[in-house]
Amino acid sequence: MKTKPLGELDELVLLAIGIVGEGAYANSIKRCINEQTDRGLTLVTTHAALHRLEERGYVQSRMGGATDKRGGRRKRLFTVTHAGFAALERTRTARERMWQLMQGRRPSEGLA
Amino acid sequence: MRDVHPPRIALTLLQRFCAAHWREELEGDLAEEFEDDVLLYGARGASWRYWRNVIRFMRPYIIRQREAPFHQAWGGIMLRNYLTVALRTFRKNAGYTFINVSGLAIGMACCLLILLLIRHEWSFDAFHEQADRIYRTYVTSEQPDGEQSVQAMMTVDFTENLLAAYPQIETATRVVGAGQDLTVNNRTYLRELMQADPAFFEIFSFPVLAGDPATALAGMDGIILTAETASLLFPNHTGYGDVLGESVTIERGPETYAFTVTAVVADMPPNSSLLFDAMISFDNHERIHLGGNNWSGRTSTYVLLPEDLDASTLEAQFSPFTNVEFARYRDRLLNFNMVVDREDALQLKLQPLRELHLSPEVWTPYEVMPHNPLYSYILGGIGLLVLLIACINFMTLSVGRSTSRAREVGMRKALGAVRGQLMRQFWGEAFVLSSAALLLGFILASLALPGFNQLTQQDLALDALQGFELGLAVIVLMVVVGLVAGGYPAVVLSRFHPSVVFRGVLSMRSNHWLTRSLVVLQYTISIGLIVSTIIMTQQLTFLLEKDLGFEDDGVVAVQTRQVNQDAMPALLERFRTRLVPQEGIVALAGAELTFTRGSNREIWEDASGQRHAAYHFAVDYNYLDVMGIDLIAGRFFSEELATDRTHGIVVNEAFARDFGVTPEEMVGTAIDNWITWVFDDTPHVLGVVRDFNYRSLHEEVPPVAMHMHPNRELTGAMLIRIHPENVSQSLGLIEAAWADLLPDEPFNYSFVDEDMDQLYQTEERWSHIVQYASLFAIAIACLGLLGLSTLTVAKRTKEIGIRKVLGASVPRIVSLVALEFIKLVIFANVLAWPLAYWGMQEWLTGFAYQIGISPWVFVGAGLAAVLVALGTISYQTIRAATANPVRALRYE
Repeated sequence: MKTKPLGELDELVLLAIGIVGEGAYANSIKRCINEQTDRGLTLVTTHAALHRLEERGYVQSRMGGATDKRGGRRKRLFTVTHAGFAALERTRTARERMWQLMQGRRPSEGLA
Repeated sequence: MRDVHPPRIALTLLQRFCAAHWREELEGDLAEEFEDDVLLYGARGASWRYWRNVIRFMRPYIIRQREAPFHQAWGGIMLRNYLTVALRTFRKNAGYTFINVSGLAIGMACCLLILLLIRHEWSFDAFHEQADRIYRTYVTSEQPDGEQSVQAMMTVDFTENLLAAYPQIETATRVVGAGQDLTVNNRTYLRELMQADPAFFEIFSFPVLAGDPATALAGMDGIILTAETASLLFPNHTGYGDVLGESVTIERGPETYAFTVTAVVADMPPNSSLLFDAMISFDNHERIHLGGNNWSGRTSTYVLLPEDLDASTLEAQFSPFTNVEFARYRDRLLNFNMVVDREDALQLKLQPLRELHLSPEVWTPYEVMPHNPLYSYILGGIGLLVLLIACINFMTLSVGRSTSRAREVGMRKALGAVRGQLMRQFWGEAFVLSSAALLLGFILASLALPGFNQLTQQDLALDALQGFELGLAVIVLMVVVGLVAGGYPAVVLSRFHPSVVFRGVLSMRSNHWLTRSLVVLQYTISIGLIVSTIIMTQQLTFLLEKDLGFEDDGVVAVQTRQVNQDAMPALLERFRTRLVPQEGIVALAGAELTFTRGSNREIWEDASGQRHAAYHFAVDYNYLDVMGIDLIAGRFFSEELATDRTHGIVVNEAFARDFGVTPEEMVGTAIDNWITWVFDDTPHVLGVVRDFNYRSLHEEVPPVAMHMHPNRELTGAMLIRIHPENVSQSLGLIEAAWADLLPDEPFNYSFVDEDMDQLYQTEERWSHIVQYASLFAIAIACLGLLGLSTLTVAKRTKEIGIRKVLGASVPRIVSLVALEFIKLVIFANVLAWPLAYWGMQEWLTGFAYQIGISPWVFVGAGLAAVLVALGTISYQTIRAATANPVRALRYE
């Protein structure tokens, strides 16, 4: 299982898509991440991350949902693929395992 | 809420650099962001952030264009659709299609014919296998006035000497030729007979049908015939081999010489400079003298160089040989002051065989008249011009028809067609039409070929187009025409925007400046050609009818050059006593030459050191009467004074002008130093005659002097003035007299006025060519105008309908529609007049005697063009003007 690990931003994006659910697109994803974290993500970075994820097959997109606010232009709507979800799970599993191995140690207790 | 927009410039920038497939979502996302930002940061802040975003988006993966999907425009299903649509379009607009195709076809036919001609002239002598190594010798001499004089006639010994001096030359041959009677079984045929050395067939490649040409000319009695001549002389023989060994006789004066057929060669191809029907060995040249004489020699000489020898290298080595070989020639020239007195005044040069036909300056009487390359260029130009007009037509019509196809374009684009596909579709249609036009053009060309052959005095055949280069040229023609003619509409039609089209906005108006200027261009060319035709015809008529200063009609010239000259004076007397009393014969005289045969020219210095030039020829006592030349001072030669013959000359006004005296003063003047080979003592002027144009009207009348050549008899022609009525009877009398007095000499006669007219043969030909060209041009221009007017009118039906409803009368509407086109034609006139004027002025300067260019010519041509244009569009405009306005306005 030598697949390249999921980057931190990528992971956030995937999660955000999951949170937003139906109609997740660049702006809503960015908003969600900025609300949930302190990252101050820009549209450009989101877009690049989404593009990367799609290239790897973790998300898939389709065009749709034009609104007047956008001057009649359609959005690119994203959904997480099975592979994407699997990658998310792998990451989470690995994180959780490592947290568990830390056995609840804190900094003040002389964490090495 | 204020109407705030993202900054336009930033948006445009984004649209510019962003790849097509990202554009929509990026613009949308950024727009949304902007709206939110306005609420958070205000308009200015939002704009700034927008800019930041746009800049940040300039990343490779955004900018990189995705590969265009593979378009199947040329293969498979789409092709069938294009074909179907194309055919439907053609059938629906059968009229326009026909106009389009026929216009192109006419242009192509023109080009094809001209291409044939040019190819013919430029392909001369290329069929010889060793053509690149064959050269003809000629000698140039530098005249005192700086001009170069060229002579291609060599002496009979020249070949031998040349080969001896330069053994690196492979071989050489002498060639002379003339018409000669050949007799077989008491039947006589006039054929072109040539004399050449056996090396002739080593140098030139004339296929042999029977016998061996190498040995055929070895003996003096061998004669080679061409296939055609062999069939003519021996109609009963079956194969060429049978003809070998047969006997042919040639009579010269009292002698008869017998020859045996030793070989038969294939007929001459039409593009050979050397044409002969029969050939005998050059060794016969003393007993059978063919051809003329020049100071430099009497035979044409061709050499064959080895492959590794370069002509210019050899030429550089010729000097020592030239000085020896042409010493005598040079001395004669020096004697008459026709060459500078310098070491290298005379130079021997080599003319490549391929250039023979295209160099009119270097010529011998033994080859086909060369072709002036200038004519090819001009003809080619005309052909291209006509084709250009046809292409312009095509473009105009296609674009004009564009509105009817606008919907189709819109549909295709809405269904996903890319501009490139559409362009290919329309280009393809243009190619189909272009090929159809080429086919039609071929048919037209073959129909017009007999007439064309007559016009150009050639014998061209379309199957000559089988040649590789010509077939290639034809294909190139079709492709280029298709590209050019189809290019403009293809580009323009494919530009249509579906939204624009379906909203009903017509972006292509027939009033578009481009289509207008195309029509103007067509008419300018046509009018220019018409004016040229008129002026050329006028000049030609002027030339043919101009008073030449002598009575040229009713004078018969009979060749007497070949007759024993010493016997001529007595013979002339006998002719005179016999013929002049007869009904219809007015006067008879003898002269050294007839006017069109050229004459001698002398440049000399008189005692005071002044230079003069004059032409001169010998005449007899009755010359003035026969030629009808006016004497304006002094007198003519008189039989009573013997000194008239030995010392007298009669000059013309130009001669007197050259001496700076009046005609009266000229009489009695002594002319010293002049034609010392004619006069032993200084001649005196007996009289002065009015200037007469005995040379072509291309030149001014030169100084001329007539004398009676005291030292020898020189009667090249017998000139007889006859009554204009009953010409054939008078001719019969002359011929009968000749048969009695000179039964052994051929009777060659011609009419002096016809001979003079012959001088302008070239002009006549050109006049005809320009005539036809202008016909073509205007036909095509009219086709163009016809198509254009139809379309315009169709487009304006609504407008016309409304006008009619509002009360306009039919004439008013007609003038309204017609006026637009007439304006174009008038503008074309304005352009064409100066161009045509300048062009014709240039052409006229080639003549010493020109007509003035009358302004009426231009007005006439302009009027003609306008009338023709009116006629062309009349049907359409009248129909439109009388149409029922209800019909026009029904659909809105």
